[in-house]
Amino acid sequence: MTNKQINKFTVGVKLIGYWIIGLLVVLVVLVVFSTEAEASSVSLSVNPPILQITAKPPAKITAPIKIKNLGEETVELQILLKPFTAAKSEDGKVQYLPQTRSFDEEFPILSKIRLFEENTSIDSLTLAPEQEKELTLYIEVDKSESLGDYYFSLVFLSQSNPPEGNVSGSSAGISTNVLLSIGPKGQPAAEISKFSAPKYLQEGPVPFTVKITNTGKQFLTPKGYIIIKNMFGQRIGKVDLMPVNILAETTRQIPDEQTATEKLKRSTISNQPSDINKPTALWREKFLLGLYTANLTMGVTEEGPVLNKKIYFFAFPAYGIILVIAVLLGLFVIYKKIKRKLKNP
Amino acid sequence: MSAGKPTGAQYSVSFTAGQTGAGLYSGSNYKVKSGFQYIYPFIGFAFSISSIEINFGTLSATNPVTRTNTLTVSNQSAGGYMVTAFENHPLLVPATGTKIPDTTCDGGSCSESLAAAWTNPLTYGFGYRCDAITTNYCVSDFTNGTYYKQFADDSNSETAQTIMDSSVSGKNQQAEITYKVNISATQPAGQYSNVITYIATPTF
Repeated sequence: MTNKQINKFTVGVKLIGYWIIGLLVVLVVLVVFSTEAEASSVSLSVNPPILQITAKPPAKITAPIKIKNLGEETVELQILLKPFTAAKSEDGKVQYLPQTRSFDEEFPILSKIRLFEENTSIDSLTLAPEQEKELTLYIEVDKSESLGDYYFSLVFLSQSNPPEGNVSGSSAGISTNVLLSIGPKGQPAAEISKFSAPKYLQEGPVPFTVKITNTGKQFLTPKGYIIIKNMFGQRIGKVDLMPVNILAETTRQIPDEQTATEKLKRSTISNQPSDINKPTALWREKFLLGLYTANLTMGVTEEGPVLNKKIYFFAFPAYGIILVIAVLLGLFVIYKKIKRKLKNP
Repeated sequence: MSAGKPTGAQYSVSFTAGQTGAGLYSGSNYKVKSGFQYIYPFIGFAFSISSIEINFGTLSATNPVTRTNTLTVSNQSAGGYMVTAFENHPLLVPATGTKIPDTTCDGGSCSESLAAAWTNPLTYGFGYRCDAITTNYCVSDFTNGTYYKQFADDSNSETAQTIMDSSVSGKNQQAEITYKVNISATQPAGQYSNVITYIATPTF
Protein backbone atom coordinates (compact mmCIF):
# COMPACT_ATOMS: atom_id res chain seq x y z
CA MET A 1 0.00 0.00 0.00
CA THR A 2 1.16 3.54 -0.72
CA ASN A 3 1.27 6.20 2.00
CA LYS A 4 -1.77 7.88 0.47
CA GLN A 5 -3.77 4.66 0.68
CA ILE A 6 -2.68 4.06 4.27
CA ASN A 7 -3.78 7.58 5.22
CA LYS A 8 -7.15 7.09 3.56
CA PHE A 9 -7.58 3.77 5.36
CA THR A 10 -6.68 5.29 8.73
CA VAL A 11 -9.14 8.16 8.27
CA GLY A 12 -11.86 5.68 7.29
CA VAL A 13 -11.28 3.59 10.41
CA LYS A 14 -11.36 6.70 12.58
CA LEU A 15 -14.66 7.82 11.05
CA ILE A 16 -16.22 4.42 11.68
CA GLY A 17 -14.95 4.54 15.22
CA TYR A 18 -16.51 7.97 15.81
CA TRP A 19 -19.85 6.69 14.44
CA ILE A 20 -19.83 3.70 16.75
CA ILE A 21 -19.00 5.82 19.79
CA GLY A 22 -21.70 8.32 18.86
CA LEU A 23 -24.25 5.54 18.47
CA LEU A 24 -23.34 4.08 21.86
CA VAL A 25 -23.70 7.47 23.53
CA VAL A 26 -27.16 7.93 22.02
CA LEU A 27 -28.21 4.48 23.19
CA VAL A 28 -26.94 5.10 26.71
CA VAL A 29 -28.77 8.43 26.85
CA LEU A 30 -31.99 6.78 25.67
CA VAL A 31 -31.76 4.05 28.28
CA VAL A 32 -30.80 6.27 31.19
CA PHE A 33 -33.28 9.03 30.51
CA SER A 34 -36.14 6.85 29.34
CA THR A 35 -39.42 8.19 30.72
CA GLU A 36 -41.25 4.90 30.36
CA ALA A 37 -42.49 4.03 33.86
CA GLU A 38 -42.80 0.41 35.07
CA ALA A 39 -46.19 -0.36 36.55
CA SER A 40 -46.12 -1.22 40.27
CA SER A 41 -47.03 -4.74 41.21
CA VAL A 42 -47.66 -6.62 44.45
CA SER A 43 -46.74 -10.19 45.26
CA LEU A 44 -47.30 -12.00 48.58
CA SER A 45 -47.01 -15.48 49.98
CA VAL A 46 -48.23 -17.05 53.22
CA ASN A 47 -47.33 -20.35 54.86
CA PRO A 48 -49.07 -22.48 55.97
CA PRO A 49 -52.26 -22.15 53.94
CA ILE A 50 -54.22 -23.82 56.73
CA LEU A 51 -54.08 -24.43 60.47
CA GLN A 52 -56.19 -27.19 61.99
CA ILE A 53 -56.51 -26.71 65.74
CA THR A 54 -58.20 -28.90 68.31
CA ALA A 55 -58.33 -27.68 71.89
CA LYS A 56 -59.98 -28.41 75.21
CA PRO A 57 -60.67 -25.46 77.51
CA PRO A 58 -58.67 -23.94 79.06
CA ALA A 59 -55.89 -23.56 76.51
CA LYS A 60 -53.46 -20.94 75.25
CA ILE A 61 -52.87 -21.88 71.64
CA THR A 62 -49.90 -20.69 69.60
CA ALA A 63 -49.03 -21.47 65.98
CA PRO A 64 -46.49 -19.89 63.59
CA ILE A 65 -47.46 -18.18 60.33
CA LYS A 66 -44.97 -16.86 57.78
CA ILE A 67 -45.83 -13.95 55.50
CA LYS A 68 -43.48 -12.85 52.74
CA ASN A 69 -43.32 -9.92 50.33
CA LEU A 70 -42.19 -11.44 47.02
CA GLY A 71 -42.32 -8.08 45.25
CA GLU A 72 -39.84 -5.32 44.59
CA GLU A 73 -41.55 -2.62 46.63
CA THR A 74 -42.31 -2.22 50.30
CA VAL A 75 -45.85 -3.23 51.12
CA GLU A 76 -48.04 -2.29 54.07
CA LEU A 77 -50.48 -4.97 55.12
CA GLN A 78 -53.66 -4.74 57.12
CA ILE A 79 -54.65 -7.92 58.96
CA LEU A 80 -58.29 -8.97 58.90
CA LEU A 81 -60.17 -11.89 60.37
CA LYS A 82 -63.02 -13.20 58.20
CA PRO A 83 -65.28 -16.02 59.43
CA PHE A 84 -66.41 -18.47 56.75
CA THR A 85 -68.43 -21.56 56.08
CA ALA A 86 -68.13 -24.17 53.31
CA ALA A 87 -69.15 -22.97 49.86
CA LYS A 88 -72.09 -24.72 48.19
CA SER A 89 -69.71 -26.03 45.51
CA GLU A 90 -68.69 -28.75 48.04
CA ASP A 91 -65.07 -28.60 46.89
CA GLY A 92 -63.34 -27.05 49.88
CA LYS A 93 -63.75 -23.44 48.83
CA VAL A 94 -64.83 -20.97 51.50
CA GLN A 95 -67.85 -18.71 51.63
CA TYR A 96 -67.25 -15.69 53.80
CA LEU A 97 -70.07 -14.79 56.18
CA PRO A 98 -71.79 -11.48 55.37
CA GLN A 99 -70.13 -8.49 56.99
CA THR A 100 -73.46 -7.26 58.29
CA ARG A 101 -73.41 -9.91 60.99
CA SER A 102 -72.14 -9.01 64.43
CA PHE A 103 -69.28 -11.47 64.68
CA ASP A 104 -68.08 -10.35 68.09
CA GLU A 105 -71.44 -11.17 69.64
CA GLU A 106 -72.04 -14.37 67.72
CA PHE A 107 -68.49 -15.69 68.05
CA PRO A 108 -66.97 -14.19 71.22
CA ILE A 109 -63.88 -16.39 70.75
CA LEU A 110 -62.91 -14.18 67.81
CA SER A 111 -62.11 -11.30 70.17
CA LYS A 112 -59.52 -13.53 71.83
CA ILE A 113 -57.56 -14.19 68.67
CA ARG A 114 -54.36 -12.19 68.28
CA LEU A 115 -51.45 -12.12 65.91
CA PHE A 116 -48.05 -11.41 67.36
CA GLU A 117 -44.82 -10.18 65.81
CA GLU A 118 -42.22 -11.30 68.30
CA ASN A 119 -43.93 -10.37 71.56
CA THR A 120 -46.19 -7.56 70.35
CA SER A 121 -49.79 -7.90 69.20
CA ILE A 122 -50.28 -6.38 65.75
CA ASP A 123 -53.11 -5.63 63.34
CA SER A 124 -50.91 -4.39 60.52
CA LEU A 125 -47.35 -4.81 59.38
CA THR A 126 -44.86 -3.54 56.83
CA LEU A 127 -42.71 -5.78 54.66
CA ALA A 128 -39.70 -4.59 52.70
CA PRO A 129 -38.99 -6.19 49.29
CA GLU A 130 -38.27 -9.93 49.68
CA GLN A 131 -38.74 -9.65 53.44
CA GLU A 132 -40.37 -12.51 55.32
CA LYS A 133 -41.75 -12.31 58.84
CA GLU A 134 -42.73 -15.13 61.15
CA LEU A 135 -45.78 -14.25 63.19
CA THR A 136 -47.50 -16.13 65.97
CA LEU A 137 -51.20 -16.81 66.02
CA TYR A 138 -52.39 -16.76 69.62
CA ILE A 139 -55.82 -17.93 70.76
CA GLU A 140 -56.88 -17.86 74.38
CA VAL A 141 -59.57 -20.41 75.20
CA ASP A 142 -61.16 -19.78 78.60
CA LYS A 143 -62.45 -22.55 80.80
CA SER A 144 -65.99 -21.27 80.17
CA GLU A 145 -65.58 -21.00 76.40
CA SER A 146 -68.51 -22.26 74.33
CA LEU A 147 -67.75 -25.60 72.77
CA GLY A 148 -67.91 -25.92 69.02
CA ASP A 149 -66.10 -25.25 65.77
CA TYR A 150 -64.99 -21.86 64.47
CA TYR A 151 -63.71 -21.34 60.96
CA PHE A 152 -62.02 -18.15 59.81
CA SER A 153 -59.43 -16.77 57.40
CA LEU A 154 -56.58 -14.53 58.41
CA VAL A 155 -56.34 -12.09 55.52
CA PHE A 156 -53.24 -10.00 54.86
CA LEU A 157 -54.43 -7.11 52.71
CA SER A 158 -52.12 -4.66 50.95
CA GLN A 159 -52.90 -1.00 51.34
CA SER A 160 -53.10 0.97 48.13
CA ASN A 161 -52.38 4.68 47.87
CA PRO A 162 -55.40 6.84 47.02
CA PRO A 163 -55.53 6.72 43.23
CA GLU A 164 -55.13 9.95 41.28
CA GLY A 165 -56.58 10.49 37.84
CA ASN A 166 -59.01 8.21 36.03
CA VAL A 167 -57.62 5.21 37.83
CA SER A 168 -58.67 1.90 39.31
CA GLY A 169 -56.23 0.97 42.02
CA SER A 170 -55.77 -2.67 43.03
CA SER A 171 -55.30 -4.10 46.49
CA ALA A 172 -54.07 -7.68 46.96
CA GLY A 173 -55.11 -9.91 49.82
CA ILE A 174 -53.80 -13.35 50.70
CA SER A 175 -55.39 -15.67 53.24
CA THR A 176 -54.59 -18.56 55.48
CA ASN A 177 -57.51 -20.59 56.82
CA VAL A 178 -57.95 -21.64 60.45
CA LEU A 179 -60.19 -24.52 61.53
CA LEU A 180 -60.60 -24.28 65.30
CA SER A 181 -62.41 -27.03 67.20
CA ILE A 182 -63.03 -26.39 70.90
CA GLY A 183 -64.19 -29.09 73.24
CA PRO A 184 -63.65 -32.75 73.82
CA LYS A 185 -63.83 -34.91 70.71
CA GLY A 186 -67.48 -35.86 70.32
CA GLN A 187 -68.72 -38.95 68.56
CA PRO A 188 -67.78 -38.46 64.91
CA ALA A 189 -70.69 -38.90 62.55
CA ALA A 190 -70.63 -38.99 58.78
CA GLU A 191 -72.37 -40.67 55.87
CA ILE A 192 -71.66 -41.40 52.25
CA SER A 193 -74.06 -39.02 50.54
CA LYS A 194 -72.96 -40.05 47.04
CA PHE A 195 -70.76 -42.73 45.47
CA SER A 196 -71.26 -43.18 41.75
CA ALA A 197 -69.64 -43.73 38.37
CA PRO A 198 -71.02 -43.89 34.82
CA LYS A 199 -72.99 -47.13 34.45
CA TYR A 200 -71.45 -47.82 31.03
CA LEU A 201 -68.09 -46.85 29.57
CA GLN A 202 -66.19 -47.76 26.44
CA GLU A 203 -62.82 -47.11 28.04
CA GLY A 204 -61.12 -45.53 31.05
CA PRO A 205 -60.29 -43.49 32.99
CA VAL A 206 -63.29 -44.04 35.23
CA PRO A 207 -64.50 -40.91 37.06
CA PHE A 208 -65.94 -41.66 40.49
CA THR A 209 -68.01 -39.10 42.39
CA VAL A 210 -67.46 -39.45 46.11
CA LYS A 211 -69.34 -37.16 48.52
CA ILE A 212 -69.17 -37.43 52.28
CA THR A 213 -71.48 -35.53 54.62
CA ASN A 214 -70.21 -34.66 58.08
CA THR A 215 -73.31 -34.89 60.26
CA GLY A 216 -71.41 -34.08 63.46
CA LYS A 217 -70.48 -30.86 65.24
CA GLN A 218 -66.71 -30.94 64.62
CA PHE A 219 -64.67 -30.94 61.44
CA LEU A 220 -63.43 -34.29 60.19
CA THR A 221 -60.60 -35.47 57.97
CA PRO A 222 -61.73 -38.88 56.77
CA LYS A 223 -59.40 -41.17 54.84
CA GLY A 224 -60.47 -43.74 52.31
CA TYR A 225 -59.94 -45.61 49.10
CA ILE A 226 -61.82 -47.40 46.31
CA ILE A 227 -61.05 -51.02 45.40
CA ILE A 228 -62.01 -52.13 41.91
CA LYS A 229 -62.61 -55.80 41.05
CA ASN A 230 -63.34 -57.41 37.71
CA MET A 231 -66.17 -59.86 36.95
CA PHE A 232 -64.01 -62.73 38.22
CA GLY A 233 -63.69 -61.10 41.65
CA GLN A 234 -60.02 -60.27 41.13
CA ARG A 235 -58.76 -57.03 42.59
CA ILE A 236 -57.38 -55.02 39.69
CA GLY A 237 -57.25 -51.44 40.86
CA LYS A 238 -57.12 -49.10 43.82
CA VAL A 239 -57.82 -45.38 44.06
CA ASP A 240 -56.50 -43.59 47.13
CA LEU A 241 -58.71 -40.69 48.13
CA MET A 242 -57.33 -37.37 49.32
CA PRO A 243 -57.77 -36.88 53.10
CA VAL A 244 -59.68 -33.57 52.95
CA ASN A 245 -61.29 -31.56 55.73
CA ILE A 246 -65.06 -31.63 55.96
CA LEU A 247 -66.55 -28.88 58.10
CA ALA A 248 -69.27 -29.62 60.64
CA GLU A 249 -72.66 -30.29 59.08
CA THR A 250 -71.44 -29.89 55.51
CA THR A 251 -70.78 -32.09 52.50
CA ARG A 252 -67.59 -32.35 50.49
CA GLN A 253 -66.74 -34.03 47.21
CA ILE A 254 -63.45 -35.87 47.44
CA PRO A 255 -60.80 -36.24 44.72
CA ASP A 256 -58.15 -38.92 44.50
CA GLU A 257 -54.67 -38.12 45.73
CA GLN A 258 -53.01 -38.16 42.34
CA THR A 259 -55.55 -35.84 40.70
CA ALA A 260 -55.37 -33.32 43.54
CA THR A 261 -51.61 -33.16 43.80
CA GLU A 262 -50.35 -33.15 40.25
CA LYS A 263 -50.79 -30.53 37.60
CA LEU A 264 -52.98 -32.02 34.91
CA LYS A 265 -52.90 -31.16 31.26
CA ARG A 266 -55.93 -29.12 30.37
CA SER A 267 -57.20 -27.37 27.30
CA THR A 268 -55.11 -24.36 26.44
CA ILE A 269 -56.18 -20.84 25.54
CA SER A 270 -59.81 -21.68 25.96
CA ASN A 271 -62.44 -19.97 28.00
CA GLN A 272 -64.35 -23.24 28.29
CA PRO A 273 -64.05 -24.40 31.91
CA SER A 274 -62.44 -27.80 32.23
CA ASP A 275 -64.30 -30.69 33.89
CA ILE A 276 -61.05 -31.61 35.58
CA ASN A 277 -61.64 -28.56 37.81
CA LYS A 278 -64.24 -30.59 39.74
CA PRO A 279 -62.85 -32.80 42.52
CA THR A 280 -63.17 -36.24 40.89
CA ALA A 281 -61.65 -39.54 41.96
CA LEU A 282 -60.15 -41.09 38.84
CA TRP A 283 -59.26 -44.70 38.18
CA ARG A 284 -56.81 -44.29 35.35
CA GLU A 285 -57.00 -47.74 33.76
CA LYS A 286 -57.49 -47.29 30.01
CA PHE A 287 -58.62 -50.68 28.65
CA LEU A 288 -61.84 -51.94 30.22
CA LEU A 289 -64.02 -54.93 29.39
CA GLY A 290 -66.83 -56.50 31.36
CA LEU A 291 -68.63 -55.95 34.64
CA TYR A 292 -66.73 -54.24 37.46
CA THR A 293 -67.45 -53.60 41.13
CA ALA A 294 -66.08 -50.62 43.01
CA ASN A 295 -66.04 -50.74 46.80
CA LEU A 296 -65.61 -47.46 48.70
CA THR A 297 -64.16 -47.67 52.20
CA MET A 298 -63.96 -44.47 54.32
CA GLY A 299 -62.50 -44.24 57.81
CA VAL A 300 -64.27 -41.27 59.39
CA THR A 301 -61.48 -40.93 61.98
CA GLU A 302 -58.47 -43.04 62.89
CA GLU A 303 -60.64 -44.63 65.57
CA GLY A 304 -63.58 -45.23 63.25
CA PRO A 305 -66.35 -45.61 62.29
CA VAL A 306 -65.77 -47.05 58.82
CA LEU A 307 -68.24 -46.42 56.02
CA ASN A 308 -68.68 -48.76 53.04
CA LYS A 309 -70.56 -48.68 49.76
CA LYS A 310 -70.42 -50.82 46.61
CA ILE A 311 -71.38 -49.90 43.06
CA TYR A 312 -71.21 -51.61 39.66
CA PHE A 313 -70.30 -50.42 36.19
CA PHE A 314 -69.96 -52.08 32.82
CA ALA A 315 -67.34 -51.47 30.16
CA PHE A 316 -67.34 -52.57 26.55
CA PRO A 317 -65.07 -50.98 23.95
CA ALA A 318 -67.77 -50.98 21.25
CA TYR A 319 -65.91 -48.94 18.65
CA GLY A 320 -62.79 -51.04 19.01
CA ILE A 321 -64.66 -54.32 18.69
CA ILE A 322 -66.60 -53.05 15.67
CA LEU A 323 -63.35 -52.01 14.00
CA VAL A 324 -61.76 -55.42 14.62
CA ILE A 325 -64.84 -57.22 13.23
CA ALA A 326 -64.86 -54.97 10.16
CA VAL A 327 -61.20 -55.70 9.48
CA LEU A 328 -61.72 -59.47 9.94
CA LEU A 329 -64.74 -59.36 7.67
CA GLY A 330 -62.77 -57.53 5.04
CA LEU A 331 -59.93 -60.05 5.23
CA PHE A 332 -62.46 -62.90 4.96
CA VAL A 333 -64.04 -61.40 1.83
CA ILE A 334 -60.62 -60.94 0.23
CA TYR A 335 -59.71 -64.53 1.11
CA LYS A 336 -62.89 -65.83 -0.46
CA LYS A 337 -62.34 -63.89 -3.68
CA ILE A 338 -58.77 -65.09 -4.00
CA LYS A 339 -59.88 -68.68 -3.40
CA ARG A 340 -62.59 -68.40 -6.11
CA LYS A 341 -60.11 -67.00 -8.62
CA LEU A 342 -57.64 -69.77 -7.94
CA LYS A 343 -60.37 -72.39 -8.48
CA ASN A 344 -61.58 -70.76 -11.71
CA PRO A 345 -58.57 -69.19 -13.34
CA MET B 1 -58.36 -8.12 65.55
CA SER B 2 -61.91 -8.67 64.37
CA ALA B 3 -63.82 -9.17 61.16
CA GLY B 4 -63.52 -6.19 58.84
CA LYS B 5 -61.67 -3.65 60.94
CA PRO B 6 -58.85 -4.73 63.24
CA THR B 7 -59.28 -3.44 66.77
CA GLY B 8 -58.06 -4.44 70.20
CA ALA B 9 -55.64 -3.52 72.91
CA GLN B 10 -51.98 -4.36 72.72
CA TYR B 11 -50.88 -7.53 74.44
CA SER B 12 -47.46 -8.68 75.32
CA VAL B 13 -46.76 -12.32 75.91
CA SER B 14 -43.96 -14.75 75.40
CA PHE B 15 -44.34 -18.07 73.68
CA THR B 16 -42.87 -21.48 73.95
CA ALA B 17 -43.17 -23.42 70.74
CA GLY B 18 -43.99 -27.09 71.16
CA GLN B 19 -43.28 -28.71 67.83
CA THR B 20 -43.80 -32.45 67.88
CA GLY B 21 -43.20 -33.16 64.19
CA ALA B 22 -43.05 -31.51 60.79
CA GLY B 23 -46.09 -29.20 60.76
CA LEU B 24 -47.33 -30.55 64.10
CA TYR B 25 -47.46 -28.50 67.28
CA SER B 26 -48.92 -29.21 70.66
CA GLY B 27 -49.25 -27.66 74.05
CA SER B 28 -51.34 -27.99 77.14
CA ASN B 29 -54.82 -29.04 75.99
CA TYR B 30 -54.31 -28.37 72.28
CA LYS B 31 -52.86 -29.72 69.03
CA VAL B 32 -52.12 -27.85 65.83
CA LYS B 33 -51.68 -29.34 62.34
CA SER B 34 -50.00 -26.82 60.10
CA GLY B 35 -50.55 -27.07 56.35
CA PHE B 36 -51.51 -30.03 54.23
CA GLN B 37 -48.81 -32.55 55.07
CA TYR B 38 -49.32 -34.50 51.88
CA ILE B 39 -48.79 -31.52 49.55
CA TYR B 40 -45.45 -29.68 49.48
CA PRO B 41 -45.73 -28.33 53.05
CA PHE B 42 -42.74 -26.02 52.79
CA ILE B 43 -43.88 -23.95 49.80
CA GLY B 44 -46.04 -20.93 50.59
CA PHE B 45 -49.36 -20.08 49.00
CA ALA B 46 -48.64 -17.09 46.76
CA PHE B 47 -50.65 -14.42 44.97
CA SER B 48 -49.59 -11.47 42.84
CA ILE B 49 -51.08 -8.68 40.76
CA SER B 50 -48.99 -7.47 37.83
CA SER B 51 -50.07 -3.85 37.91
CA ILE B 52 -51.86 -2.23 40.83
CA GLU B 53 -52.70 1.01 39.04
CA ILE B 54 -55.02 0.81 36.06
CA ASN B 55 -54.90 4.23 34.40
CA PHE B 56 -57.63 4.85 31.86
CA GLY B 57 -56.16 8.16 30.74
CA THR B 58 -58.44 10.88 29.45
CA LEU B 59 -61.92 9.55 28.80
CA SER B 60 -64.05 10.74 25.91
CA ALA B 61 -67.70 10.03 25.26
CA THR B 62 -68.66 6.81 23.45
CA ASN B 63 -65.01 5.74 23.19
CA PRO B 64 -64.65 2.69 25.47
CA VAL B 65 -61.25 2.29 27.07
CA THR B 66 -59.90 -1.09 28.15
CA ARG B 67 -56.88 -1.90 30.26
CA THR B 68 -55.56 -5.18 31.62
CA ASN B 69 -53.53 -6.66 34.42
CA THR B 70 -52.65 -10.22 35.38
CA LEU B 71 -53.45 -12.21 38.50
CA THR B 72 -51.09 -15.07 39.36
CA VAL B 73 -51.61 -17.77 41.99
CA SER B 74 -49.18 -20.51 43.06
CA ASN B 75 -50.85 -23.07 45.30
CA GLN B 76 -48.41 -25.96 45.46
CA SER B 77 -49.05 -26.16 49.21
CA ALA B 78 -52.85 -26.22 48.92
CA GLY B 79 -55.30 -28.40 47.04
CA GLY B 80 -57.10 -25.52 45.41
CA TYR B 81 -58.01 -21.86 45.79
CA MET B 82 -60.33 -19.06 44.77
CA VAL B 83 -59.77 -15.36 44.08
CA THR B 84 -62.64 -13.05 44.97
CA ALA B 85 -62.97 -9.41 44.01
CA PHE B 86 -64.94 -6.33 44.97
CA GLU B 87 -64.71 -2.57 44.47
CA ASN B 88 -64.86 -0.09 47.34
CA HIS B 89 -67.35 1.94 45.26
CA PRO B 90 -68.03 2.71 41.59
CA LEU B 91 -65.60 5.01 39.82
CA LEU B 92 -66.25 8.42 41.31
CA VAL B 93 -64.78 11.87 41.82
CA PRO B 94 -63.81 11.90 45.53
CA ALA B 95 -64.45 15.63 45.94
CA THR B 96 -67.98 15.66 44.51
CA GLY B 97 -69.13 12.04 44.65
CA THR B 98 -70.08 12.11 40.96
CA LYS B 99 -70.02 8.54 39.66
CA ILE B 100 -69.50 6.57 36.51
CA PRO B 101 -72.02 3.84 37.28
CA ASP B 102 -71.21 0.16 37.01
CA THR B 103 -72.23 -1.12 33.61
CA THR B 104 -75.40 -3.15 33.13
CA CYS B 105 -74.14 -4.27 29.68
CA ASP B 106 -75.99 -4.05 26.36
CA GLY B 107 -79.29 -5.54 27.41
CA GLY B 108 -79.25 -4.10 30.92
CA SER B 109 -78.81 -7.65 32.22
CA CYS B 110 -75.37 -7.89 33.77
CA SER B 111 -74.67 -7.44 37.44
CA GLU B 112 -71.95 -8.37 39.90
CA SER B 113 -73.08 -12.00 39.71
CA LEU B 114 -74.26 -12.28 36.11
CA ALA B 115 -72.20 -11.57 32.98
CA ALA B 116 -73.64 -10.39 29.68
CA ALA B 117 -72.50 -9.01 26.34
CA TRP B 118 -71.13 -5.47 26.22
CA THR B 119 -70.18 -4.41 22.70
CA ASN B 120 -72.36 -1.37 22.01
CA PRO B 121 -70.36 1.91 22.16
CA LEU B 122 -73.52 3.59 23.40
CA THR B 123 -73.65 1.37 26.50
CA TYR B 124 -71.88 3.20 29.32
CA GLY B 125 -70.35 2.32 32.64
CA PHE B 126 -67.48 0.37 34.23
CA GLY B 127 -67.02 -3.39 34.19
CA TYR B 128 -64.52 -6.21 33.80
CA ARG B 129 -63.97 -9.64 32.32
CA CYS B 130 -61.54 -12.49 32.96
CA ASP B 131 -59.60 -14.34 30.26
CA ALA B 132 -57.33 -17.36 30.19
CA ILE B 133 -53.67 -16.81 29.40
CA THR B 134 -52.67 -20.43 28.76
CA THR B 135 -54.96 -22.59 30.87
CA ASN B 136 -58.41 -21.41 31.88
CA TYR B 137 -58.79 -20.60 35.59
CA CYS B 138 -61.53 -18.00 35.16
CA VAL B 139 -65.06 -18.73 36.33
CA SER B 140 -67.42 -19.94 33.62
CA ASP B 141 -69.31 -16.60 33.30
CA PHE B 142 -66.81 -15.36 30.71
CA THR B 143 -66.99 -18.19 28.17
CA ASN B 144 -68.27 -15.68 25.63
CA GLY B 145 -65.54 -13.22 24.67
CA THR B 146 -67.90 -10.22 24.74
CA TYR B 147 -69.21 -10.82 28.25
CA TYR B 148 -68.54 -8.41 31.09
CA LYS B 149 -69.65 -8.08 34.69
CA GLN B 150 -69.78 -5.38 37.34
CA PHE B 151 -67.43 -5.58 40.30
CA ALA B 152 -69.32 -6.29 43.53
CA ASP B 153 -69.88 -2.87 45.14
CA ASP B 154 -68.81 -2.91 48.78
CA SER B 155 -70.44 0.48 49.41
CA ASN B 156 -73.72 -1.16 48.45
CA SER B 157 -73.04 -4.24 50.62
CA GLU B 158 -72.74 -6.51 47.59
CA THR B 159 -70.98 -9.83 48.17
CA ALA B 160 -67.48 -10.25 46.72
CA GLN B 161 -67.55 -12.55 43.69
CA THR B 162 -65.21 -15.33 42.68
CA ILE B 163 -63.39 -14.49 39.45
CA MET B 164 -60.85 -17.30 39.22
CA ASP B 165 -60.43 -20.64 40.93
CA SER B 166 -58.88 -24.08 40.69
CA SER B 167 -59.21 -27.44 42.43
CA VAL B 168 -55.70 -28.68 41.70
CA SER B 169 -52.28 -27.70 42.99
CA GLY B 170 -50.02 -25.79 40.65
CA LYS B 171 -47.54 -23.00 40.10
CA ASN B 172 -48.12 -19.68 38.32
CA GLN B 173 -51.76 -20.17 37.48
CA GLN B 174 -52.69 -16.96 35.68
CA ALA B 175 -55.69 -15.01 34.51
CA GLU B 176 -55.93 -11.71 32.66
CA ILE B 177 -58.43 -9.13 33.91
CA THR B 178 -59.74 -6.60 31.39
CA TYR B 179 -61.23 -3.39 32.80
CA LYS B 180 -63.57 -1.46 30.54
CA VAL B 181 -64.98 2.03 30.99
CA ASN B 182 -67.22 4.02 28.65
CA ILE B 183 -68.82 7.38 29.32
CA SER B 184 -71.66 9.34 27.80
CA ALA B 185 -71.43 12.90 26.50
CA THR B 186 -73.24 14.13 29.62
CA GLN B 187 -70.74 12.63 32.07
CA PRO B 188 -69.40 15.51 34.19
CA ALA B 189 -65.70 16.19 33.84
CA GLY B 190 -63.49 15.03 36.68
CA GLN B 191 -60.93 12.48 37.89
CA TYR B 192 -62.76 9.23 38.58
CA SER B 193 -61.19 6.54 40.72
CA ASN B 194 -61.84 3.51 42.89
CA VAL B 195 -59.99 0.55 44.39
CA ILE B 196 -60.50 -3.09 43.44
CA THR B 197 -59.63 -5.59 46.17
CA TYR B 198 -58.63 -9.11 45.17
CA ILE B 199 -58.34 -11.76 47.89
CA ALA B 200 -56.77 -15.17 47.19
CA THR B 201 -57.99 -17.87 49.58
CA PRO B 202 -56.80 -21.48 49.56
CA THR B 203 -59.27 -24.31 49.96
CA PHE B 204 -59.58 -25.86 53.36
